[in-house]
Amino acid sequence: MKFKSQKIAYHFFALSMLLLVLQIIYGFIMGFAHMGYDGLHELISFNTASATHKNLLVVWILSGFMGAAYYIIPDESDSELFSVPLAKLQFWSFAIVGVIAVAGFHVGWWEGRKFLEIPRPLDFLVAGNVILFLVIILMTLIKGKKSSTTAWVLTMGLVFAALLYLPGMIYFDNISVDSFFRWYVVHLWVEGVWELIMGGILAYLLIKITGVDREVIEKWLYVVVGLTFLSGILGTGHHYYYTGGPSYWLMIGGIFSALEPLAFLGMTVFAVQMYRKGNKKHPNKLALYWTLSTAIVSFLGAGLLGLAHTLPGVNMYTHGTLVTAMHGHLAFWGAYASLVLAIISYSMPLMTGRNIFDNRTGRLAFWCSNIGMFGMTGAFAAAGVAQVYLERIAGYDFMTVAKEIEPHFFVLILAATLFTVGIIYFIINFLKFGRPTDEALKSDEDFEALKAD
Amino acid sequence: MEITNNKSFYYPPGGILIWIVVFLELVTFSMALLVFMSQRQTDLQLFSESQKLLNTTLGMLNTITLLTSGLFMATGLSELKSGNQKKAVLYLWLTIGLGILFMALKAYEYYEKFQLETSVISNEFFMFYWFITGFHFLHVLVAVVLLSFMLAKTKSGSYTFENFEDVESVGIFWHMCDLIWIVVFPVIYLLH
Repeated sequence: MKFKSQKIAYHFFALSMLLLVLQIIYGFIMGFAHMGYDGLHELISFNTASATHKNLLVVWILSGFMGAAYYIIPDESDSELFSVPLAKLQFWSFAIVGVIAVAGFHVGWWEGRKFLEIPRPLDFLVAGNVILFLVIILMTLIKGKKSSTTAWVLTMGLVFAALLYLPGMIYFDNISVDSFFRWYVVHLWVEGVWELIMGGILAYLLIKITGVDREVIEKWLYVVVGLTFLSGILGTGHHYYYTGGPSYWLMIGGIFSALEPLAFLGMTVFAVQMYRKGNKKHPNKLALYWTLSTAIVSFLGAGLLGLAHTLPGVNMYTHGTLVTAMHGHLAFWGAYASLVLAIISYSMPLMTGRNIFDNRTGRLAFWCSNIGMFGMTGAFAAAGVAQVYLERIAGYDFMTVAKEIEPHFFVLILAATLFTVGIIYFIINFLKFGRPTDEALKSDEDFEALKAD
Repeated sequence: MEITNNKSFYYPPGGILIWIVVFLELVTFSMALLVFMSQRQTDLQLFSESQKLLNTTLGMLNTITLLTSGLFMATGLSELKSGNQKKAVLYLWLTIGLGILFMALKAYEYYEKFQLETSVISNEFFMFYWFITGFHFLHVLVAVVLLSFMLAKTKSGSYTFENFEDVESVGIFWHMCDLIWIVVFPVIYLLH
């Protein structure tokens, strides 16, 4: 790392790891409940577990993005972070609000609006926290000696992500109208502005790891990201099935979401090309693995599996079933979770000075978690298709169907166990790095010098 | 043209990026038109009755306008490549002028449709009509704005016979607008 203040990223990455573990635990609670073993029902009911699982996902990924921004922005703008004490304040308030929210879910303090269960008073705290975060990032960029496309795309992604939290905070009496705007938040995040963040972080990683010229990477990546982003905004229309919106959204949503896989494919081809083009390979193989897997798995999970159930004729039946869970798991894993793991793998050696670039634990973490996630996706797909046929076509009752598809969750839990083993390996590596230290300053100069040869 | 380096040999005119845009645009509009065609089969009567309300004369005029502007665009670019900056500027002016004429005619056509009280939610035919022609209109608008920048920079001498790739890219985008219209016009206005 170049600057002492970049170390703050470590806190956010550590929080990410902690929340990821919690998210997995709640996933298991639900998996067992689906299999018929709902022993914790009195303590943690299914919908509490479901809300916690999904909210933790959003929070750990956001925490990863914040850490990434605190690491990348000083580097790209060539200056220390605007204020480390403020960043620490932002970190602790973020963590505390998160803990209160999750604890609240268990005692019934929530709004019951899917994905945005956090109660209104906490919403304001989240908003204040994110504003503080953005002020720190923007001030760093503005007073920085340099500015780059990568840094600005990342920052704009973060700014828009904050703005898009607002539609979820408007109060409506009518539940349909409320639902309509609530959809904006998470869906325009994942199909829109988070892709800018993804583009920014991926570009940074590819520049650092492949050694290909910044101009080439920035030019190409932003075309690809731009296409993904543009197709994603209108593609969001595919979510407007049961929200009372006009029917033309079916056409617009169908067509533009059919384009999204192409844009993701572009990103995959691009990242792989850049890797092949770069002749000065960075020794950090693990970061390279995760970077390339982000590009590839996001195409499979977000692109192809998204297309698998986004067309109007299909989605009419599959909306809100386990088919959505199939797509959701691989999409989030490929596009965003792997990305956070990539930036962690890249930045941790530079923050701590311990060069864990390519070890057995790291490789096992990569392969177990990826294979496990593909297994889970398969189990969800089988369960989802059975569910759609039985419930939506044959017309069986919801709980009757839930009983019929219980065996699929055995497979899901097996795959999830493999996935968890992978994540445990990842965390073992994370712990091996220890804490960041000032002695690690200038640790990336070796490779920079290599590139200049 | 003499091939001076690998780049000009491998790269298509206007650079590869614009061709990716063209490809995606064509895919998008083709999908929309295919969905239109398949939906048309489900309610032929509604589609042909609604189609009768469209103004084919204006559609025809617009087709001629766009095709002519495409010719001017190509001529302008070849003048720029031959170093005739002044002529290039003139042809760019003509291209932009016809682009604006297209939009004016289209605006009048939309005004007529408003008078008939048709809108996106009138029926399925008009939903497709408004969205497909509306998206096309937006592309023409974007292209005219881009062409205006090209015009200003050609006039100021930033673009020359050695540095014309940007103009070429925008030109390709402009021809793409032609091409899409040539397909949209018969499918939506004429096909019985």
